[in-house]
Amino acid sequence: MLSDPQIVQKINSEFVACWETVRPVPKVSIDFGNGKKMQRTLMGNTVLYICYPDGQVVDALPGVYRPEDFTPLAEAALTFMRSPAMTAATGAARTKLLADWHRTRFAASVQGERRRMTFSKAAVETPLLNAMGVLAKPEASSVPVAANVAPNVPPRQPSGFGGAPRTPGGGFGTGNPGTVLPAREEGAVAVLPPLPKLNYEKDLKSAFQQLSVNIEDISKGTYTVQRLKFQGVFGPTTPRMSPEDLGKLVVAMDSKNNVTVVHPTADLLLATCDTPQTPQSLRDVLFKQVLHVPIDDPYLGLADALVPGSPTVP
Amino acid sequence: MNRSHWASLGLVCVGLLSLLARSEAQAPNAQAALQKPTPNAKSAAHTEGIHWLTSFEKAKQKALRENKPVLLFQLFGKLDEALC
Repeated sequence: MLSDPQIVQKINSEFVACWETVRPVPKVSIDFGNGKKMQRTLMGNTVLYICYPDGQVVDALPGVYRPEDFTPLAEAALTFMRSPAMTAATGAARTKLLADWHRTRFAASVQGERRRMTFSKAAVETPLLNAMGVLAKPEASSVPVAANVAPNVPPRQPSGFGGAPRTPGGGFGTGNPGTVLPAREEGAVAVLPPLPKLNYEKDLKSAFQQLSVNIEDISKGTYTVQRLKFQGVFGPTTPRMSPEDLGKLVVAMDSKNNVTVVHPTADLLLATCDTPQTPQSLRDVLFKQVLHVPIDDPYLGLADALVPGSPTVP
Repeated sequence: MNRSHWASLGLVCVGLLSLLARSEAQAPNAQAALQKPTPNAKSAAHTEGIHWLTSFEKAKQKALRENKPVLLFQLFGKLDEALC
């Protein structure tokens, strides 16, 4: 996104841009043993903040965004900052207006998802409502697996085989709920108990806690490429996509998930704030609870489980 | 055309041929240099264009002067490095 000419122009004209490091990025080198080597990063993640010149956060955008997803969010924040009410407000009044704005936006996101569900009649089209537990009753005939889990993430499985991959057209933003292929083992399909329904109107902080635990970063999911294959991106009649194009598709999925679920979760967090927030005060909760990256852990959670035979971590 | 003209033409041809030979000898290296990604090739795409600051405090001061909001980008690694 940051190399897009229109975004460059937008950022340079509307903002003072600044970057800072949260921690060094883990790098991994893979020697394939045939002369081929690959080096890449692991667990990298980002948060964009829009702040007043005094450092107070107006909006926070965790994760990556495509230009077409970032622009409306940035415009909304700029328009709100330039509104007469916000221009006149200072101190506690400004903080209150900000919290109210985020609460209103979160409600609008929920409402938008409800509307989308009405049109699509598909639980898989409403990841935010899924993560909130609003869709407590899975549509057993079409989506028996983990219907209360955001559809853009691999369904949580008890263990081993038994996964029920969605057929092409299912899942992410296709407008098609898809169907489920037969499980490979009889009785292996998992129907998880419904999540407790999230009531953000009564208790914003509890609602944030509940919503944040149901977020997953799909771009880091090991199944992402496999899922794209099942969605028909690769098929017998489909020309094989280049790694670059497939990477763009993964970013597009990630960006849409961030707009639909992750950013509203940040809205919910900011709606709970009755004191001015800075990037420093929000950093830990956004990385740890929203993006699920344990930034205090020197191994970022990668050493939590070591399969037998793994070298001991120093 | 007299003898001196032929001699001059010959010298020019020899010079041109030697230049051509030298440029051909250098061509693979030049081509390799063009194709070889620099360590910060990826980061260049990130950092070119946008006028990035690397200090939030300085960004706030500049934002105050220019009456603009700050866009802060928190990331793992460094934006001006190849892998970030």
